[in-house]
Amino acid sequence: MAFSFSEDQDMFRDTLRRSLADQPRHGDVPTDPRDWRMAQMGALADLGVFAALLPETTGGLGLGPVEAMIIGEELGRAVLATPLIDTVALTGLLLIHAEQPGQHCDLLTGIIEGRVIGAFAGDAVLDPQSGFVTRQLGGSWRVTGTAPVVTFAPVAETIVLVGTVAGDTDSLAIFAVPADRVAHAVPFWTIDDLPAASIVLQDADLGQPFAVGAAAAAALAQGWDIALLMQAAELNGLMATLLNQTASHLRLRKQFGVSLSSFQALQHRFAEMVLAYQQSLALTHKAAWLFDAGSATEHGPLLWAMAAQAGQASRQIGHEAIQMHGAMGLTEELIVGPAVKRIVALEPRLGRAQFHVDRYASFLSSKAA
Amino acid sequence: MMLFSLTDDDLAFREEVRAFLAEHLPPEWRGVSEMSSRPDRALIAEWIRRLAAQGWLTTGWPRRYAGRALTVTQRYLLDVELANARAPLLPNMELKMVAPLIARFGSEAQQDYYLPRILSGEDIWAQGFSEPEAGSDLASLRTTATRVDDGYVIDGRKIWTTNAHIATQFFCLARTDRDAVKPQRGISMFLLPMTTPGISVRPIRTIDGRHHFNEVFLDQVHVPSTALLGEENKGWNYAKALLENERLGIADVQPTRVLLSQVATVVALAREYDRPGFYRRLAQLEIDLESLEFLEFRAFENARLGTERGYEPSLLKLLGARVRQELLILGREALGTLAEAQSSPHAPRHASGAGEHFVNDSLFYRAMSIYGGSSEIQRELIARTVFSQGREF
Repeated sequence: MAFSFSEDQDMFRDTLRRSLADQPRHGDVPTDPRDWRMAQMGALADLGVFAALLPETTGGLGLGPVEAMIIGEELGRAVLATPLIDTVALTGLLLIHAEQPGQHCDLLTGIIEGRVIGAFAGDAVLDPQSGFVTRQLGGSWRVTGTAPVVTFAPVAETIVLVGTVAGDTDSLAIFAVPADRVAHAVPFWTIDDLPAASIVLQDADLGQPFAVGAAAAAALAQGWDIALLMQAAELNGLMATLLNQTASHLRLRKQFGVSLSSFQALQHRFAEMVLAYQQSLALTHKAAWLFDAGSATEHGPLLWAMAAQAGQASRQIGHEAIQMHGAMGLTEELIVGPAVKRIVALEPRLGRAQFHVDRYASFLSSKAA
Repeated sequence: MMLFSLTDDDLAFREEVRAFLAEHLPPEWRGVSEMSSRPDRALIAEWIRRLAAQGWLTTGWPRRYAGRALTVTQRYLLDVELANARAPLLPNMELKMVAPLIARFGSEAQQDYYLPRILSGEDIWAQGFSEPEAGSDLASLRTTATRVDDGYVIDGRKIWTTNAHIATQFFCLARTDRDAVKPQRGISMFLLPMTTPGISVRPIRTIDGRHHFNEVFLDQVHVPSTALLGEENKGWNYAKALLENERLGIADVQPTRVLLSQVATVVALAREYDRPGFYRRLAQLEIDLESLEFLEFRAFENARLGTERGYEPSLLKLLGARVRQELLILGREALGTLAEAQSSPHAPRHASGAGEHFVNDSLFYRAMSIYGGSSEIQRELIARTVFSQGREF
């Protein structure tokens, strides 16, 4: 039975959990987003977090979806917002799956060592406000379009930019461009305290795409699926922390002379939080295992189901955690506030829960047709 | 959708089940359990006999009856294949509740009498637990069993007794010690034929227009000492063990999977204007069902490995009831007023049969969040387990 963690995987998780618990969660937030540095980058690189998912041929550890999920869960549990998904899944893996790793050796080495951050821009499917159209003009490619929020753009070395090919909306082109060439000059902060910038391009010459057409679509799907899995896993980790924190608060906090956990209204709502979390965890584990078994047609819809449930459950648990903590839940003093902010910021990045439900719905209706 | 990577043994077992179904499940039996009129017991009995002949129904029984020891995965695969083939639904009461109970706690004589009769499909069992004054708070039950020279005399009333009107056997809880320190400790369990003098049955009609439930009156019902299951005053433990047997299967997932495909058929035929909204709800419910299936599978695995948290059955029950109820409402809504037109000769084909099914079942399965521990009880169990264990998520 493939549905259990190997000893190595358990060990990997334990090491991560212990090490992340030792990391200071709060760094000093600089005034200028361009000065953002994650204090834990080096430590994460030492733990192999950046190397884990990259193939051994590029200096990585060659681990798979189950490990990707473990990493995501533990980062969420530690409420640590990292550029891991953007850098490893949506930059590193995407470049590798386009079968041009040779061209990006330095970049991959930088990623593995925790020196280089990647960012990802543009997918009109997810966000109608965000998208690029590309067209070939002689020897160069011109790109027009907007991505209003590109997380990590101000600090990234490379931005992976995806656009549709003019005249053929089914065909994609992917560019890897130096961040300073495309990112808007005025950066800003996201709600989870990460640096971001807009990208607005008007007929910009981005040179040659590194993948076009079927190759681009395949590479995007590979990177995207891992990103989606890691994101759901991170949401699960955040939920676990919120549940632990809320359970202990309900046990310890006394009002009217009794512990809050003795109130039935709160018991019932807490039980619904547990159920929502367990559903999300179940779908994520199932998706990871199927993904690991290499059955792409099987795991596709399951990933949407997973993303939908993780999004909905994390929102529910986040808001309930605040409610049950009372006004303290609205502050930055407890872990609850930062965890909820991370959820609110993270959930829509790879498609809102409703988007994934709708995608699942069209899958069902196309099956019926 | 494929559920997980299987070992070669599992794959071989699945092939064996599929081959068996191709040969031994007549086409006209497929789907018989899906309409509101339940299939006749003779058909079910024959179906039980065919499966029993494969040795698939007796995992965990005493060795002289044991067929094959199926693994958790294999039992799960069997359930999935039976559901996919739309095989007649097997009676959980006899096969998953009573048989394991007698196999574990019954005397050899009780085993030798009752177990073969369950495997041959000839016995139908009714469970006498709930009483008018003892529902969720079962331990407060008032039916008494008084010791007499050659056995016991049982007096009391049971209610919500499913199938009492067709049952051949009855098992019930009765108080044998009125002075026990805790009400749970003075209760015993008895096995007796429904034909025992003093038993009378009053039907209770439910709002779905069908006859599931009954009230059972026990008036000076005289039973021999051999009717006692296990030891006197240990009945509560047996009742708990019974629920343990059934607790992981209580979400009744595979029939819900069949229901989902029926609802999908109706949704696909809904008015174009309504369809996207219905599909969105269907998608949400299929997502819930996917998670339920994996939660159920994992609960079995955890039970086997001893790594349970303890509230798994409550999660399954809570979610299982919700998905079933919401699916039935969706099916009813997608059919609209057609849902009630099943008896009209002008009803469209997809509405006939399906209509009555969704309307009546959407009414009847309100019971699913009440029986076997109401959803409120389940929520309380989950929360209390978390708060008392203090184990981290």
